[in-house]
Amino acid sequence: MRRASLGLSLVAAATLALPVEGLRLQSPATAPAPAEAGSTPALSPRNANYSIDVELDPKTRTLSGRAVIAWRNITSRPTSELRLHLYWNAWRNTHSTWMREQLRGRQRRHSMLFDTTGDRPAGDWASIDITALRLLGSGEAALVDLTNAGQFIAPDDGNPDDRTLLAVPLPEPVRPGGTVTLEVAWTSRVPRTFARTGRVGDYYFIAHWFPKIGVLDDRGWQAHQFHAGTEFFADFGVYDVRITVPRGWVVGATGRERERRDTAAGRTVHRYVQEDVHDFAWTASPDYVEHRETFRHPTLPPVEMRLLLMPEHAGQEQRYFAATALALRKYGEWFGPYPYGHITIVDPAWQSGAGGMEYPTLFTGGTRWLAPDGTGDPEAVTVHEAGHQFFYGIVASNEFEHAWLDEGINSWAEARVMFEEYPEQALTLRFFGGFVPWVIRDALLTREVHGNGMPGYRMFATSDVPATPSWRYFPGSGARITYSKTALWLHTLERHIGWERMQQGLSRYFERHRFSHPEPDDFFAAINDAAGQDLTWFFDQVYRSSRVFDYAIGQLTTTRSGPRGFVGDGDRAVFSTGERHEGPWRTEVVVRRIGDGIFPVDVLVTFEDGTTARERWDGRDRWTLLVFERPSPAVSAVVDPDHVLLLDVNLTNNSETRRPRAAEAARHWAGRWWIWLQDLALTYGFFL
Amino acid sequence: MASSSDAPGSVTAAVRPAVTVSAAVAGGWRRAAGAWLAIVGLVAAGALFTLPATVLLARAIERDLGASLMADRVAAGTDLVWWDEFAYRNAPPSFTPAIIGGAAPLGTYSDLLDGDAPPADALAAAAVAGAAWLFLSGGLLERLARRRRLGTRAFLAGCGALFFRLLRLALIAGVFYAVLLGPVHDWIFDGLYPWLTRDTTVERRAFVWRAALYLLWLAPVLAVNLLADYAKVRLVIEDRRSVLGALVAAGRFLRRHAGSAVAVYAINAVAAGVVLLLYLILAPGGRGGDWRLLAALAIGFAYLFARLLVRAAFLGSAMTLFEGRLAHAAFTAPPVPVWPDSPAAEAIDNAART
Repeated sequence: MRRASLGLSLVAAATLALPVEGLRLQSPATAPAPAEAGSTPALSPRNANYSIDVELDPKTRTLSGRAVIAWRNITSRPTSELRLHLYWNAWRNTHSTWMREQLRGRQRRHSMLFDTTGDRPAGDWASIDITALRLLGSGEAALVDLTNAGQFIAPDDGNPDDRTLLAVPLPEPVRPGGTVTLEVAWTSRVPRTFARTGRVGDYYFIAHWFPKIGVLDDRGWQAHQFHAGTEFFADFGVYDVRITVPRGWVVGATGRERERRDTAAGRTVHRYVQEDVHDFAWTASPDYVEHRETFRHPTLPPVEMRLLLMPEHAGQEQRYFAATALALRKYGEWFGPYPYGHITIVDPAWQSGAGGMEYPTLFTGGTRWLAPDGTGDPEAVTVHEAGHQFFYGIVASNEFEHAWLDEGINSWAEARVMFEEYPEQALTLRFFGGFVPWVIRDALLTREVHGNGMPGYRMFATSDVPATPSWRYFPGSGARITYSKTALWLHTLERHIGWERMQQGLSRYFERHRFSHPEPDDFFAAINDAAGQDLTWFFDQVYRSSRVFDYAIGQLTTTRSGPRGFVGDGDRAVFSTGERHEGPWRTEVVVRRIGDGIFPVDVLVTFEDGTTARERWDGRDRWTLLVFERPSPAVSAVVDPDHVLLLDVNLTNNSETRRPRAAEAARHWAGRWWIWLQDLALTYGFFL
Repeated sequence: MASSSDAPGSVTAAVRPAVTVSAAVAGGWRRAAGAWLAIVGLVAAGALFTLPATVLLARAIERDLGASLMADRVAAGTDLVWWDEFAYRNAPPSFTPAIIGGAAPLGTYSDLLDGDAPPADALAAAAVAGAAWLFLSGGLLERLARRRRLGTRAFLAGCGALFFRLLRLALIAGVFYAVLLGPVHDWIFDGLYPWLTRDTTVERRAFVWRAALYLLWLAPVLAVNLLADYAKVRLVIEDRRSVLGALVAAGRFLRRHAGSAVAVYAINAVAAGVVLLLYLILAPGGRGGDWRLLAALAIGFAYLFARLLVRAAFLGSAMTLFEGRLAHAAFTAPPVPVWPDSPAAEAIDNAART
């Protein structure tokens, strides 16, 4: 394996460009001029820089890699060890923490996990084994050989079989501001796809594939084992990666391709470089067809879009480009500009399991061979994953602990984008092994319920408190809390404080925390600032508790009657039957709070003469009584008529009418079901 | 009675040309069309036997909606918001948007081909209707065989006369279907299909494999169905008592006339496909309103009638082919008249033609 002296120089110089203490390193004699290193102004701390050489052997389905990692301690505390993520060991065997959690989650009926059975043959499993680990000193001489010094640790669950986190002791602590350069060599087995990483046939999608240094902050190492329900967390830096694959294969990767060189062995080395990112993923296949277009906007920077498309999806390239441009435009206008100038869209191969995932400057979409318009494929996943460039890529929150800060915010934003641009999205069913789509054009999805994922949230509303670190969510249900509950409460907030303030809040959050690692309180602070009020009462309920919201109309009565009984004083009292045919109508509305969540709600009462009355209730007590004296009887009462509280799990009980049409609705649908049932009987009766 | 003598005045037996495939199909459709009233009765019976389950569903929907304004939206059309809530509140598992319009038959065929059992609530109701069909199919068979109106009494007498034989036949065929729908299906779709497509990265290719495996699986299923149909034909036309005997005899017939029988079956299968396609195009969606409901019911019942008509044509075509290919008492080839014509021979010929 050739030494990556040029790459080493790039990353070392990027790290050394800043003041250093502790271990001092000198640039090798062959280093390029400093101007070349980190050629763009730093947008991020660039404290974790990688120069990597990797070769893919499709015959043995292995990777051989070598990296130089230059890391700087940007905290205020020294550290005597480094922690390295070795994510692919999660799929080494069924005893890893990831596999145990995955298999545990599959036992739940509604687990939304990928095919990760423990029954896979040998060639389907993964591993990553470090073959050499050295602390680099000056010149070519290694300072310390740490190859056997590392210990696998399991700070989260104490699982002695989990090998996804390696603690490497250092001979000397790295003081605040100090730097250290590691050289690491490894081999890994490329799995048949686990968690969107791996290969099928000659299609490779390679993510989380190299020994990756964890995040150290003032509280200590924020490096967790790899859990089934969470994603990743890393520091920003410069990546200079040289990928060797068979000649003729098309490669896509984080960053821009700087160089391509054929070797004598029938292979090609593709060099990609990207600054100010915290991860690097790549893909290779002989089948990709490349397309390019440029996103242009009057006030946002242009972005070159590169699409790697599977041949069988020819004809869908414009849909991918349109959806990506839509995300870049909307997120750019609402939150802030996309800074990198380029983006790679990967159309994953059938059965690759690589679809719907985000990496810096690269993401995977996903579509079908038959993808009718108006069904969301590939638009929805494209907008979502392109959106992750903003929340995850640029605002790099800790996905181990606060997955909602990227998935939830992005789900909320994506739903807004999708339903603004495609307001009529119809329900699509898939038949015959899932291959044949059937669109039910008059069954329209709504942003409020389907875009935000209410059906899924409703099922798991109390499964976890969102403030629980994400890696501790119950496997299989965490996604409903992370994605759906967050989207629902963000949308509720949007309706409560108004879109303008919401957009300002998100924009502030984005601007304040670009290229850093914000925490939940940072988000709440930005929203409070923009809203001009303290919304802690709301955040306490939706984030720090698992309260469920459900308001209902308990009772609606409207009468025009006087008192029945004796009316009047003493001997002059007369018995009244109570009947009255004139005078005002008295309407009483009982509004109930059935759930534990408290939210101020409006109640709208409509009267027969067309007039309405609207009252605001603080929603705190378990019920309240509203009384109206009007010339006309009431027809209906609705709590939360504007559907501000999108977390309300039962909308059917939000209203009552004196003219119910339930019987008509029942006839309507039972009739259709009747025909379906007879057709079913005939189909199976064919065999009698 | 045929004679092979060449003596003057004698009649020489000659074999009437065997009925062709197209004639068998045409004959089957004529029989089916002639039995339209019986088919209407079958549709009505199916409706009647599935009505209790439908009423239960209607009540469940009405209970769920109560006095809510949500009912307005549900009455007006397909409201997925309510549908999701109703599902969460334990709606009958079969009540999903897959019952709307063309999704309804497609979903049923898809579940069948993919080995997914129908929801339990619907299965129970469909089983009741299925038992009714089994009983009433005897009368339909009689009607198709006799090619004349039967009247209710005779129709029901035919139902009764044939019921236990048809039940035994259904049980025997059911064993084969159970094996085909069970372990054979699992082996093909949970074993062979994943193995064949394991490293396939092109969806279209995977679909082609799946379609091919659907055909591979359907072949024995339809073969069993074909055998059972001809067993029914022989049960009715030859008034056989032994179901096993009828099956063996049906097998013999099919062995000798395999090509024609399969061709007749295939042509009628195409007709079934046409009926399905028409329904996919015409099936109404979920928009509300009483007149739309009436239109949906009218189109739905017309579709069900057409399906039963096609089923009757399957059976009628099998009968026509069988009668036209097999020579024995009352179905013998008429003698060819020789000069001078024999009035007796010609009378028999006329009787045999009608």
